[in-house]
Parts: sequence; C-alpha cells; structure tokens
Amino acid sequence: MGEKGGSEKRGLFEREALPHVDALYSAALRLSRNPDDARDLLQETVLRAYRFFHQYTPGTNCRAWLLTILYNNFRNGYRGAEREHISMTPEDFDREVEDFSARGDQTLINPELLLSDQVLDHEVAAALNNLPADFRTVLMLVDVQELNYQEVAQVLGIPIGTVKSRVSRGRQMMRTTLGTFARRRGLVR
Amino acid sequence: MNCEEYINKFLSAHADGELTPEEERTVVRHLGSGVDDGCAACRARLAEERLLKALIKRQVAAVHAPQDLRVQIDRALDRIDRGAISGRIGIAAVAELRRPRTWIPLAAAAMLLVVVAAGGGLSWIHGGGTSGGVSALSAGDALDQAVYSYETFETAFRPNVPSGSLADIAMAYGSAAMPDLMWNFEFAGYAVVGGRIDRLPDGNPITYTLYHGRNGDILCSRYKASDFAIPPGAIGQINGHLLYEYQGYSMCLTVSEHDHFICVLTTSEPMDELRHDISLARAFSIVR
Repeated sequence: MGEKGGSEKRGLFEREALPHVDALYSAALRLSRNPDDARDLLQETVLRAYRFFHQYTPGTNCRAWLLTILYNNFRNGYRGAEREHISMTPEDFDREVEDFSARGDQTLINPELLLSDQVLDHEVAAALNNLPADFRTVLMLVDVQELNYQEVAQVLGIPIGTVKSRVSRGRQMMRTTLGTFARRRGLVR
Repeated sequence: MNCEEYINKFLSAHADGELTPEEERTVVRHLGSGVDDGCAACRARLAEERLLKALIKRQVAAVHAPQDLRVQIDRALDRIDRGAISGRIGIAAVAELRRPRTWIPLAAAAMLLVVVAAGGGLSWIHGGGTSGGVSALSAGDALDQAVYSYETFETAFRPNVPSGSLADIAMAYGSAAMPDLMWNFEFAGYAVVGGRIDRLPDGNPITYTLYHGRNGDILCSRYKASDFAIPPGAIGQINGHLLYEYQGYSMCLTVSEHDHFICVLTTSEPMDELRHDISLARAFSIVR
C-alpha cells in the first residue's frame, strides 16, 4: 500500500499500523474461523483504528493496540456470537487437571520430555483447537502475536494474574494432550 | 522452591520472560546451571516449555491478508481521507440478495397494505413477534447499541435476508418471529437498502433495516428489551417517538409497552432532518 492521501495522519498510520495487517488477519481468521467473516472483521478493525488513531500513543506497541480493537470488535460484533460459545471455565479446567492427576500421571510434576521435534504439526493444531477458547486465545496472543502479559491483559480486558494463570494452564493442557498423542504413537512410554 | 512450585507457578512466566528480577533470582537458585548443580529435570522442563512455544508459533503458519483485501482497505482509507465515508453506511453485496419480486407469492402480494397512520406516527402495539426471546440488553442500552451498530455498518452493511423490497424484508422478519411492521421512508426520499438479522450475545435476534437517502442513511435496529427503562436525555418527541441527540447522531426511540420491542432509528443527519423524515414516514406491514 503506497503512501497516499498525503496527510500526516495517513502516513503515520501506514508506517505504524498497516505493517500489522497480516498479524491482524491471522488473529481474525482464528477468531471468526471463516475467511469471509475474517475479512469483515479485519476491515472494520483497520478502519476503526484509523478513525481513532489519535488515541494511539506513538512508541507503544501498535500491534497490541490494534488487537485490542480487533477483539473488542469481535466481542461486540454479534456476528461471531453464535460461534464461540463453548468455553470452559477455570473451575472446569481445575477439575480436569485434578482428574488427570488422580489418574496417577505424574508428568505435571515429574518432568520427562514429552515433546520432541517429532511432534507433528497437525497434533499441535489439534491440541490447540481442543483448548477451551479462553486458554487458546492467550496462547495465541503470547506465542504467536508475541505480546507480553501486560499487553494481553489490555487486549482482553482481564487482570494480568488471569493472563498468567491461563498461559500456564493452557500450556500444561497442551502438553498433556501432546503427550497423549506421542504415547499413542509409541514415542514415549 | 521445589519442582512442583516451579512448574505450577513460574515455568510459563520464566519461558515468556515475565519474571520479576527477584523471582528470576529464586528460580535460578532452583534450576542451577551445571551437571551437578541445581535441578536438571526442571531445566529440561524449561527447554520443553520453550519448544512448545515455538511449536505453537510454527503451527500458525505465517498467514497473509489477501491482496485484494489490502487494496479494498487502502481504498476505504482514501474515502475516509476525502470525508466520503464518515456518517454514511457502506453498502455491500446487496445485489446477490435482491430477489425477483415473484419471490412473494402473488396472493400474499395482493394483501400487502401500506398503513398510513395519522400524522405519520406509527403504532407499534400490533407489531407482532411476541414469541421472540427477551434480550439481556435493557432499553437503557438501546442508544449505545444503536451507535455501535451504525459505526460497525459504516464499513459495510451486508443484508442477510431477501431485500428486494420492504415486503421481502418484512416477511423475513416475520418468519423469524420479529415484528414485521416497518418504517417506510419512501415519501421522505429514502430507498430501503436491505434487512439483516443478527444474534445478540445472548442468542436473541436483532434486526437491522437500512434506508438510503440523498443526504444520508437511516439505520433502524430492533430487539426485545429485558426491561422498560427509557434512556434519559430525550430532547423532544414526535408522535410518541422519543428524539435524542447522542454521540453525534440523531436518534429516534420507540418502545412498545405491549411486547417490549425497542426500535431505534439512527442517522448522522441533523435532528431537523430526521424530524422531517419521520413526519413524512409511513408504516408498512404485511396484513395477515
């Protein structure tokens, strides 16, 4: 996208915000799970960001600021409202972890290498998709979008302590699932 | 610190570089660094955690926004720069939803009736749609909800019900158990662009009808409210409809005491213009 329009605001927007369009599209696809809705969501996000660009503080993480708008758009947008309703509560998750520990699997506290380069991409995809949405979302923001915990807290409008515990529990759950896959394939006893 | 504490409380934050300097010192004491020193098992776990991060990142392969979408965004930014987009709702993909008039059975078409209410006021009492679920949104949320919708649709309003005419839209709303009584702004110089039914977060329906005129657009949104608290701040009324100037928009709120449906008209046109439009408006309904 060339620098058009000549305005200072447009130039700044093109330098600061537009380089993140791919990252935003990736997040939009993850959220809406369908390319048409992802297009709408991305476009709404970018145009809204442009309209409210005066609220962006130069020097702060522009990607985090844009993702905040994107997630707000998605949450308030109603279009996706029917799709991502199933979300495990932290209490449900605690129960799962307890059940898991009760089965005598000590991997959570007795580390053995469950993961290796032989973990298959489709297994990672499946493990991610099996995570409750709240946990998947923070992992996407931390590991894919490379935001820090403070930024994730801002994007999702949740306390930083919640981000921290969701990251930790999300990864533990991923690890458990991947460990199960690996065991099935006979990689790990 | 023991292994369990490290893994449950610090491992992820450690791998993410989110430990405070003090936590970092404590953690390093536990992990150690050499073969005979510290906890090799937790060091392995940390390496594994970092591998997991990399696997997650790798799995979400670099996605590129489609080129035509980038071009579309660029053009939309141009339009905003020219001031062409602000306050107007973008109209998208209307053509594909326009159906031939024959979509309405002839018998039904013969029963179409334009109800002319005295003085242009609409009676919503007989709006129908009483079986629709009650939304968690209260009447007090109506203005914010309407502004949000208007601004969302500024990018593109995509009708999702047959939208060839008011009758098409009314029939679609009726079959979704929503009121099929419609504003008709034809005499005020507006054409109906299309209708849309979405779900609120609680799963209840909300309908949007967009009208396009020479000087601007009017968006009509309607849902069933959870209560009957009318938002304060009305600056006047016309034929029982409350008028608001809210966040730069001119709005008209109608509440039906009968079935709790809230109807909000939103436009970026001046209030005088909206008053004028309402005075010329008619009610449209399919007589059953």
